[in-house]
Amino acid sequence: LTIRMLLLSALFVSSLAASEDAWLLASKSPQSQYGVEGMDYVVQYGLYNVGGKPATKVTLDDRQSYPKEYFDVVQGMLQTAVERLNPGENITHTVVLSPKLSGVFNETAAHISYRPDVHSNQLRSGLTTVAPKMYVYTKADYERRFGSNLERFLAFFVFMSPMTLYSLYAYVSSANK
Amino acid sequence: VKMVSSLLVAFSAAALLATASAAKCESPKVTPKGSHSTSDAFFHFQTVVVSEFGVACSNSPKDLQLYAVSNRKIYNVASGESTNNFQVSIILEHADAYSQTIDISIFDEEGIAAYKKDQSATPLGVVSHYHAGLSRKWPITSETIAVLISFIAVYYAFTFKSALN
Repeated sequence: LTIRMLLLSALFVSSLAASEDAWLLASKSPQSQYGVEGMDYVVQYGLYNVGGKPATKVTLDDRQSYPKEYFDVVQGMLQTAVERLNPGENITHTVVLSPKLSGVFNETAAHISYRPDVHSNQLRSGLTTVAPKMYVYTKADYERRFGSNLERFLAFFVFMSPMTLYSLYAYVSSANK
Repeated sequence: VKMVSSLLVAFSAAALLATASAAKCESPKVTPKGSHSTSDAFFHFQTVVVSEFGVACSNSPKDLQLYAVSNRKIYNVASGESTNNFQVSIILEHADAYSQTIDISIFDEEGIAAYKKDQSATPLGVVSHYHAGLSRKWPITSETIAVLISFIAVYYAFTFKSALN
């Protein structure tokens, strides 16, 4: 009985929404754990139409968050448009960047704008959710923490071997005496 | 029950009206313009495939909205502001991102409505991206192995010394 009531109320609410204009929820979140110089850094944007009408001429612009002096674009467009987002539809847009310099980068959000109906003259604009403050590590830091340290260990064993092998040799020769 | 069915009719009618659509692409020509996929399972939360392409239509429609289908999932396509450049972003869980060729079929609004009815509808074009697979980080770091070996060596030395005594 409660499930039937839930379904009824959901249908009721959605039929009410069918008369409302388009309403977009916009999110921005990083897909990469760290920023590292020269390595892929992926940013993900989500646009969700939770209104009752299609949103048209949707634009998403995030060029000001990733200036060309600090980020290379590997693939993807930081400034895009979606012609039409029907009610209930969403679009997930990702851009692959490559940081050029290390350091702290502040929280950033992208700008969106859209028309709330197919033949509407109104323009709605807003910001996405904010991506948190980002720290770009140098490649050397990343390699030290996560890279293969095999060469370092091999070098260590090479340096340690004279002392260790001499001790072994001294013990063996004294044991044989 | 009667109220539910009438609500359903009202909602589906509204949805149909909402999707009654605009532009169609005649004589399409799809040109791939580059694609990239992330290949590190540790560094990124999910595997992302980004594919950019251009679509030329003989009728040069103004308000063209494209849709992409890959692996039976429908994606909305984003377009560049000025140039003839479209982008599809596909997000895969790491478990599904083994080495494969990802085929992306491009449809216009009419085409995607036809696809939803019959999955063998003809796309405007197909863009392919070869994803080489993922590299993973070892869960055990080399420092851990070095520490373990040193512990074993010290333990061995200790027992040897006490045996000498």
